[in-house]
Amino acid sequence: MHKNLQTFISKSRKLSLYTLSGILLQCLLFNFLLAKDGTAQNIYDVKLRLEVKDKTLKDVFSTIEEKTEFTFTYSSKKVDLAKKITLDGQQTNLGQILESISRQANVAVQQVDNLLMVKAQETAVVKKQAAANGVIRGRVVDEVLKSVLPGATIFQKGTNNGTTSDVNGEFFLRVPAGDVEIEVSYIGFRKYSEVVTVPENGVAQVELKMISDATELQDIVITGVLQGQQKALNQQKTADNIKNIVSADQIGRFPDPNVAEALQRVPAVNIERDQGEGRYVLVRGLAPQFTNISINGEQIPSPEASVRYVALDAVPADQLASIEVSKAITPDMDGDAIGGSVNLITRTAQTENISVNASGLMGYNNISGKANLQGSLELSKRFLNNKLGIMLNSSYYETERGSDNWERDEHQLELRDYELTRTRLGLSSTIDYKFNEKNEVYFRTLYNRFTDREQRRRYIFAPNVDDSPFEDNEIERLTKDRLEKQIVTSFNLGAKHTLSKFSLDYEVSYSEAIQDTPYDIEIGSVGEVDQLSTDFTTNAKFPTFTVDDLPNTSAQNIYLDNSIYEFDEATMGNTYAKDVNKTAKFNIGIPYKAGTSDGLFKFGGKVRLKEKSYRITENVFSYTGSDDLTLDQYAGGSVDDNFLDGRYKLSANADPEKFVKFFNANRNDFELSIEDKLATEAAESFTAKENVYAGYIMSKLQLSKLMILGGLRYEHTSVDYTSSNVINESEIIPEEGGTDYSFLLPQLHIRYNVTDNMNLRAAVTRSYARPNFSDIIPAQEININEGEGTIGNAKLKPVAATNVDILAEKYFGSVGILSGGIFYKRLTDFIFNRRFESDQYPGSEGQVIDITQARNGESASLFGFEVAYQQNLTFLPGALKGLSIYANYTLTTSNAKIQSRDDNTNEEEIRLPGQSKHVGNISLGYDLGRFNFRVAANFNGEYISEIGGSADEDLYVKDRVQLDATTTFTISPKLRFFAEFLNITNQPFQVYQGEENRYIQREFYSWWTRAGLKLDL
Amino acid sequence: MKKHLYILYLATAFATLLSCADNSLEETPNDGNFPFQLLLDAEEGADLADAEDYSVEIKFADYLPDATLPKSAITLGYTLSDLEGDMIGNVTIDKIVYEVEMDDCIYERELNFTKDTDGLSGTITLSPDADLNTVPSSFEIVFTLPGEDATKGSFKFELTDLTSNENVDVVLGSPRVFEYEVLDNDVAGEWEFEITSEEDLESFKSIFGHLNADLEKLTLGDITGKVKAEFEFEEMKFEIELSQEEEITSCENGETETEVENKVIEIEADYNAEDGEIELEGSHVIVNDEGIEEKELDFIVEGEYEINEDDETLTFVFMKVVDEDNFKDGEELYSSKDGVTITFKKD
Repeated sequence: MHKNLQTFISKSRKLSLYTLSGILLQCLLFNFLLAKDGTAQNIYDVKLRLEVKDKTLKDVFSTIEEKTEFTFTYSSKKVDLAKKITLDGQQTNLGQILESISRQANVAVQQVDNLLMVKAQETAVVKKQAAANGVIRGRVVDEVLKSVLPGATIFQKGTNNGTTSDVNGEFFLRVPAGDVEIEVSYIGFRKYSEVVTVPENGVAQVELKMISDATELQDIVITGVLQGQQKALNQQKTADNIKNIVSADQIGRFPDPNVAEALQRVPAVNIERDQGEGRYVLVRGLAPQFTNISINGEQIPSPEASVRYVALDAVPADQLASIEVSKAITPDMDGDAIGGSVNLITRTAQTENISVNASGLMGYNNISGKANLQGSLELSKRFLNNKLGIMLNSSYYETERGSDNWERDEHQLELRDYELTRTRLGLSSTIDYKFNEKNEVYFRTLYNRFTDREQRRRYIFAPNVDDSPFEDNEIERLTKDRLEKQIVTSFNLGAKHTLSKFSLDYEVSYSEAIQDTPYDIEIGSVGEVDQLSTDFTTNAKFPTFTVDDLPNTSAQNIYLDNSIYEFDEATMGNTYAKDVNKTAKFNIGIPYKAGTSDGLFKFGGKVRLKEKSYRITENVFSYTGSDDLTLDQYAGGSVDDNFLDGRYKLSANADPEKFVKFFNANRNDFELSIEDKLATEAAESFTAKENVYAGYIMSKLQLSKLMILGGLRYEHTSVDYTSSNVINESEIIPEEGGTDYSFLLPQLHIRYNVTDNMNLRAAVTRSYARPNFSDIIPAQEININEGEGTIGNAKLKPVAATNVDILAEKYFGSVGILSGGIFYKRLTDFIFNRRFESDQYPGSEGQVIDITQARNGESASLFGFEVAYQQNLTFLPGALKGLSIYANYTLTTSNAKIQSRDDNTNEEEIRLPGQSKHVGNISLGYDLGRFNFRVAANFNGEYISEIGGSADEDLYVKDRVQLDATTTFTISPKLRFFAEFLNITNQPFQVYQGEENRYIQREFYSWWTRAGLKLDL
Repeated sequence: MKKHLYILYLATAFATLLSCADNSLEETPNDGNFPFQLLLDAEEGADLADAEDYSVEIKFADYLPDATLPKSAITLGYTLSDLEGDMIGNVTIDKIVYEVEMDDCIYERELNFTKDTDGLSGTITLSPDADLNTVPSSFEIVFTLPGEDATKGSFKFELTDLTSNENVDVVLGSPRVFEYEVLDNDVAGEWEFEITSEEDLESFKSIFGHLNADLEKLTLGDITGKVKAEFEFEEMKFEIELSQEEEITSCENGETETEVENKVIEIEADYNAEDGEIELEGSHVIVNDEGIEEKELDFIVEGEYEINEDDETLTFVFMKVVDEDNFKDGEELYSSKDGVTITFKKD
């Protein structure tokens, strides 16, 4: 307890030091810049009430000039100064008063310092001047919170010519030169229109300031959370394809510490966890390798050796502006995404006002009894009249976790006690420079470092159930200690050019992912006992055992005596996996007219050169010293005296630190197993090169309410590998392999705007998923003596898919959505492990052996239905109007054909691995003034995690409901306190084999909390 | 100024990066260093009382394929200790030999060694061989023993230290101590059994035919009838002599010799013979119908034995044969209370 307290205090100091030093430093940095920012007061900050009835516009202008420091300028020829104006005194500031005047007098008012420029709104003029074109370039911002609004719809009034703002709230719109009225709409905000004078072949720069729609949102305080929800829904609504958006602000709405856990709230997304923390994302019931993970639109290489997908718990959410989950891809996106494409978008400096976002959190993990901490700091500011933007972001997270776990293998019972220390460091920056309205360059950097030190203490109780004279009743004691570092670094340098005839963007990027395991040690000791039996039936959830006829609950049980365990072997080693992507790409967009409709023709190309390698060092040592070496001589470290709530007793296991000291001091008494080392290292190490060349053409056409987007993408992939074959665990033969494949991927998307707030969407797309490296590397392990072998398949083709999606979505002004849709996927060349007899393999002398190899050839289909509903229930009476609900549910069924496991000549049908029939979320929130409380439940249905040798051996991850709660108190608009409580009901991770009551794993993590402050300056 | 402040920010971020918890081990395991290890092949051994000499092998432990054995001399210190019984004053190192194979011929060569005045300690010089260009990978120390029928006693041989050129990474591994004793169990020695009938052969095959597929196929015409049993220290083997002969060509020290010998089938096992009960433990290969070796399984043969010193016979009654796949009651490879009786005569 005392130790824990000390750790807590130490971490508190660390957090405070980290946060305070960062804040102080950055405040110092930017103080002088803040002082320079002297601009006129914003019209919405000028408190003013006017009550006039049928007064002329000229008189009202005069009254305002008398009461404020502002002066109107206008052309009396164009503005009807005699227009009668009535103001009822409800408007509380100058901005609102001018809005009312604008509507009544059909004028637009634009603030330039203390000048208020008044222009008549005459759409007729626009039409007359349509012959010459120009561009309106601008940004949509929240007038009150001063933040940018992504996903806003900007239309040239009275036409189909429109666009949407990007993640930075920025947009450009090609329009006829002259005075053009544009209209902006945004869920939760009032519609806004403004007349912009656009020069011929030039660019007009505007900033469109939106006002929150008080009638829809009534008494709800607009916080960052609600604003995040608004941003997400607006982007979703205006997207060309079917996608879900999670804005960074919105992540704070749920107690999700990392990107993977934030994504579990998205409809049709579930996650795989590691030690209770979300890690891999499964979209629409398809395994992680079917989902493409990108940062700023560019694929991230995977630090892990055998796979392509990325562990998203390595990415701190604080680095991101938003997360996009595209469920139907467009031709300008990478085609290798059957389940979906997850794009993580980093932040960019938005305003000339310095923006400081900082957070500091501390928490407690119940199972480890230790603290966790998190700190983040972000600075951003635009300089040189908005031309140069710099954003710097850093975050650090550290947690000490653990888990209590039991596992079953036939009659063997294994107890696993985990102790983990994980850290997550994220550093990112974006530097962008806008030369002028037409040209900009940017440079983005990102560095993520995730470390995971794991100590795993195992007891394996292996009874000699058959009373075999060749076996003993054995208890094995193992301690594993390893440090794993995952480092992802990326650099993106690109430019955007917006010209009157076309737009061009291009980018070169370098990204590198490393998984470095500098040490991985496992120390094994074995003891033999006279009697040992395990019982998995009396209590299937917590099996029992007896040793020498004493129950597992007995403190006198001999298995707790470390002197009965003799040293068996120590495995030491390290691994290093590296994956590098070098990418270059360009996109060109050319606007065009089709009758009265506006369209955009787009084409582009991309080259991605990948190099992936893996090397492993594994040294297995046996002890040859003359003195006995038993566990009690090297045991130590912490002992969990409440393992699985005290159901099992544990004694100190091998202490790696202690053992390593003994090993180093007695190095000559340990003998290396050379044959094992050479076989393991040769069979697992590989290098691979994969070059991808892609090009696409697409066109988007807006026909009144109907948007059609269609195109083709072509991707060619060329792959080469080198590895080794290992025959009979001794003979090593170098191996090379490679293949080429191409895909032509047609894509069609349709969006029909039934009303301003209702869309119907449909998409038919082709996509594919490349095989995991572990399947395609031609490494082979052949054991002729045992008549079996595993062979990689360098010729393995990717899985191809045809995807059909139909979705209807209704958005609510009170910031909400009701959506529902169906999806269908037909997968061909589905990859599965095939077992067959063959005499064709390296080292063959004609013997027929059983070969296991990943093969193509079978098909699979997947059908699903998803519905999502979220709304702030502001229509309810009284205090109930503070309630909000967030719910989604996805039903999925799948059918895959594989080689029959009972009869090699037939087929059988199974569910796709990773596919849950039911996935959903329900969350209830309550807003009361500055106080917000939310409780959220996430449901993941059962799914097959591993296909066994027969249906009885299939492994299923059991369904799981996790209950979390979070509360926020907005101390001031700039400062929020929040607290989170996760896994309240201590939901375990459970795996069963074949039938539901045959558990083979139950892992418990208990609950954990976090609380802290968030500062947004 | 701004530039400097930004650099300061980045420096702070970098410092943060470096100061983050790395959670490494306090002491790094020295597992990436693989010195050559010289060690004794066995910790203990024994031979019959009348044995006149005994060899102990010293070898390099397995080493990485890209490593080259030392090219300069290594000096080993040794002691002979704990001499008991007839070994006192009668045990000494006779010679130290190693083999070199060149052009399919084996050459035996000797290493230099020294003895102190009492002959109980000294040094062995492991010199590089001119043909190998390295030191040999193994060598044998040949001890002179009393060689009397009634010899009793034991001794210990220990490698005490190793000296090598500084550039050569060689250490003394374990085991470093070898203990010799006179083999005194009842069954030790060589025995012979004559198969003279189909019944004898079937009887022998009913036990050991399960452990050797070639033996199982034999008929009386395939064998000479001679079956030899050798019981050494903890290990034994049966040799079944076949009628079929083969030419054996060997080359030792440059002299090639060709002999015609009968082929034999061998069955080897570890054994434990005590108080009239014997247990053989070994492994056998399972061959499928197509003649492909499928797997290797451990076996146990249980039985009883009796020595008749008058007529120098050793009678076994083998009652059970099991292996890893066939050991449950009713599933044994062979099981009978009466067993199969085989009587060997002293060879």
